[in-house]
Amino acid sequence: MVRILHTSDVQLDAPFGFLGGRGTDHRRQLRETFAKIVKLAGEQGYDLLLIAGDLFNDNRPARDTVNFVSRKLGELSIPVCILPGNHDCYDSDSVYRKHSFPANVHILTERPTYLEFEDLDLIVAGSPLISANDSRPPLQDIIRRDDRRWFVALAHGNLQIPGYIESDARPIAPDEIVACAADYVALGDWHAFADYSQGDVKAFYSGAPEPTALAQSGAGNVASVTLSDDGVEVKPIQVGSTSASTLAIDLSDLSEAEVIALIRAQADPSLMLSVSLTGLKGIDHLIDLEAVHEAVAADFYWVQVTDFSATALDNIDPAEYPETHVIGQYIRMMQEKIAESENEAERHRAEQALQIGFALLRGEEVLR
Amino acid sequence: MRINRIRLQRFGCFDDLEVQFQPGINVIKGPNEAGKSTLHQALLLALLERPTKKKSTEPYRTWGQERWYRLDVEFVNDQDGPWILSKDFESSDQVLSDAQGNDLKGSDQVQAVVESALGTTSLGIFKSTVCVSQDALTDISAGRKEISQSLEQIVTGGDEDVRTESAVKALEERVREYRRGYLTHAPVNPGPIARLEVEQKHLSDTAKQFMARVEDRQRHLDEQRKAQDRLAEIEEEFGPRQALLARVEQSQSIKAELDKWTERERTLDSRLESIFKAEQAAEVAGHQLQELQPVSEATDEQIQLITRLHERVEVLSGEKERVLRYREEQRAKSAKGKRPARSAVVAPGLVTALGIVGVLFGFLALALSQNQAIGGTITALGLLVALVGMGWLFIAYSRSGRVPSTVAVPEIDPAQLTAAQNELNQKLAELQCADMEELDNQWRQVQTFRRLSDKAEAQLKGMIPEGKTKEELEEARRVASRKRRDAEEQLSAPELEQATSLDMIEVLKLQEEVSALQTERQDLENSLNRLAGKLEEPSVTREDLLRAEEQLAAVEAELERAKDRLAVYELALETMEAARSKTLKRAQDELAPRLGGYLQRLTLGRFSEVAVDGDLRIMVRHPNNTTDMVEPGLLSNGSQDQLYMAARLALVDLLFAETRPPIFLDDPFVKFDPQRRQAAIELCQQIAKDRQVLLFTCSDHYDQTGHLIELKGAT
Repeated sequence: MVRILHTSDVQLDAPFGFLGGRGTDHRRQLRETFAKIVKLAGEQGYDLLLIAGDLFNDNRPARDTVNFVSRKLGELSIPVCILPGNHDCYDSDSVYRKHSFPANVHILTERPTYLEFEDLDLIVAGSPLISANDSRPPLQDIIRRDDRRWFVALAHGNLQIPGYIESDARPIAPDEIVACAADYVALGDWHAFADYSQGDVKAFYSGAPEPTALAQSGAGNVASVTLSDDGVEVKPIQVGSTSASTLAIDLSDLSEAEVIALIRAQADPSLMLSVSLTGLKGIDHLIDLEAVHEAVAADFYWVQVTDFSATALDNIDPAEYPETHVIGQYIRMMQEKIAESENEAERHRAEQALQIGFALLRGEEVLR
Repeated sequence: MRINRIRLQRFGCFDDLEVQFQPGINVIKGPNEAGKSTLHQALLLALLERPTKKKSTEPYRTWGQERWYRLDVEFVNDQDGPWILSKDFESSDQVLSDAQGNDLKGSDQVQAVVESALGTTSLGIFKSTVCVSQDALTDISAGRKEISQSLEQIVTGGDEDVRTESAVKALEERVREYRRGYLTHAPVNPGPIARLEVEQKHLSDTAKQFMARVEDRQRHLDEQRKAQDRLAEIEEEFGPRQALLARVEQSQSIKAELDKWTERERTLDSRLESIFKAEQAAEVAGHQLQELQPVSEATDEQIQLITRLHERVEVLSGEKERVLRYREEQRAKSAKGKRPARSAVVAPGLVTALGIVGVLFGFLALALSQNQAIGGTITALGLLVALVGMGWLFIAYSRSGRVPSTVAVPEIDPAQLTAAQNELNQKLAELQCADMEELDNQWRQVQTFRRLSDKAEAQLKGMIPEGKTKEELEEARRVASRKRRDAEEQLSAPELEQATSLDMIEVLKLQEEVSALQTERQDLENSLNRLAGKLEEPSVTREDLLRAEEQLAAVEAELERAKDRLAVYELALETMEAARSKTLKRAQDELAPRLGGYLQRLTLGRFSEVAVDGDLRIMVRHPNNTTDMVEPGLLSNGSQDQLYMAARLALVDLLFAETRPPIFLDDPFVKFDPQRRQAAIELCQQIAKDRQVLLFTCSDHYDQTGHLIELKGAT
């Protein structure tokens, strides 16, 4: 029996522009979570740690970060296999060329690379990405060579799901998963834990251990893999300290206070929440996004509120706002502008202008 | 649209009041505090206010009542009705019931019915058009508001305090604020976009600076790593090469020692050999000299003396012999005669004869030849030859008969010769030489051996330095030999095997390699020192850079939002001004003739011509001035009130032509003179044929005007 811990897409030292001032906190969190994974691998009886690409966010991580990774991995008594991904590709400037790693760390640098672990009766194979734009199928040329030993494949790329995901970049065809005949295919590049087993071949994305962007709702796990005569068992283990989620709120009949209350219902200091305001709102239904954000920001690790709602123009009765009035005229002119909008941004601006002007003409003090 | 009745419960001063209205003019009369304004407000709230508890509805609660008020109003449309609209401000419920008792509870349905009845669901518009209050007239007449502003306020749909102008102004202020320092020059007090741009530039510069420093640091680290790697390689290459070179130098040094001692040994060998040879030569010479004794012991003076003695003997002997030979020759000459030998005179004779023949031949030639020169020459040559021949003959004859008459013939003293001979013999005997020849022979040998001996001595002297001995030289040679052997032994050591196997070119190459590595190592060490210095400088970390970039991203996003807001405000402002312009133009076009008609009736024909400009500023043609239009401010207070009243009525026509909601007149004729008040009443009566008029007044003037409703205060 061989026990494997599989992670990917840690993206150490990634910039988090969307987190504003919390970027530093999140980078620190990524490190802590990585240390947690290494500790898990070392203390829970695993035989092998697999990192299926994008351990680093790029090939220029801080030296301190590389030293940290080397130190942590060097503390392990088990082998570690690292597959360079698109973020930390094995190019001439690769972090894996510039720095030395402990002896138990095996970087897959050839295309393909086969590593034999006699003690584990196991072969690990994978093809690194040699540039950020390396679009070759990562499972191409990976094939089982020895039926008597366990065979694990590593691949960093995009699984092809006909009609749903058909990417030209680093495509992994379901047939290739079957063809490689591995006992387990450790996938990386997607940030959510997911089972994409094909036929008899178990294939899983471990997902990123921490979300690196908003709306990465499946992030936060590693994959615990057990290869035994009884079969291959894979289960997720929660390691992330933060989570990401999305919330869509239909503004149609909600006041600003009600919107705030709905967002607050999700309050979680470890949650990155992306709130989308949707639906058709009344012309007089002006939501102050900044006020909403300000009201809920302290309740979350990070919250972003984006207004995707549209203004309900069909239910504005011309008789209620006759064109003999400025307000009626204003509404009609803005309706024309909205109808003539050439893109979504222009339409959104016109709708906002309609709402603000409408409110001002009704005597509301909306320009605080 | 017409209101049939209204019921007020817990509203203002009325605990429970029901008022019935009639079509046409309804005069609601009462003294001050009788509740006219309360009823007026109740009607407006009952028709157009949402039944919610809020600040604007709070003032109408009855003092001391916990529950909020309830209003029920019954009205009819032109098409349908009656409708009973019930609004409970306590429960926020509103119900619209039709004549059959069917209830409509949905706010949208209720609003739809109310709107179809009134022409609007906006309380603001309703109040600013169909509600003509005496207060507004008073305000205008007091000059506090321009009529045009009031009219504009009406057509813009706001209530008394809200106008398009204020909305435009608010937008203008906001646009101005956002453009300040961004699209306009405002270095001191920039707007939010300009501030964000400054911040963005600062952060962008900082991020670029950080990026450059981080990249510099990364480059320095890379250089340091490469230099260290190269240094390690150099150390690996340099060590063996340097050691080999050291062994080469050591072997060269040993070789030099070897050469030195070999040369020394060879020199000493040679010298000792020479010394040996010289010694042998000296010994041989000494031995020979010993063999040549006693001659070898003779002095030069002795030998010279003997030589001179021998010469004397020789001279004496020679002289004696010469005299004797002379005498013999003289005797021989006398015996042979005076004629020379025939052979001696043949040749000269022939020559002479040839010369004579030549002369004769010359003369003959002179005589016979025309050419005198040839003849002369032959003659001269013949003469010359003849003379030579004759000379030659003379010599031959001279020789044959010559006698040395000039040599003295010495006299010989035999004693002298004998004495000399004896002395010589004695001397030779002393030297054990038989004769002079032996002596000469021995003496030459002695001299030779003496020279050889001297030479050997000289050589020995030259070969053994002063103060040294041959033994010392021999010791020095032994030392040199030992040193040579030592050097040879050292050179044959295994560790020097490679070093000694290198030829000169290989050694030179090795030296060049070591020198190049030393230079490179020195350069690398200098480079590492320089890099260490740079890396010790206060640095910017990648984290600093990422933080700056994240701050920049946040500011850029904020800037983008701010620009977006500006675009929104500008669009709202631009559209609002356009809407205002278009509305006012429309109002202007339709308002002027209607207003003129009403004003003519209210002023009994005194004013009839009215102009309204694009900003709804009203101008009136003054009856005393037939040419110019005048501003309303130049009219009397009463005329201004009438102008305002006419404008309101014209606007109501304009805005509510179809629904014809009731007109609420709140004692607007207070300042009218009796004639114009009567004219106003008549106008109202005319209007009331088409729509309901609710006239609130405390005056009795209107008792007969229409359906009279008297309020007596709190119920």
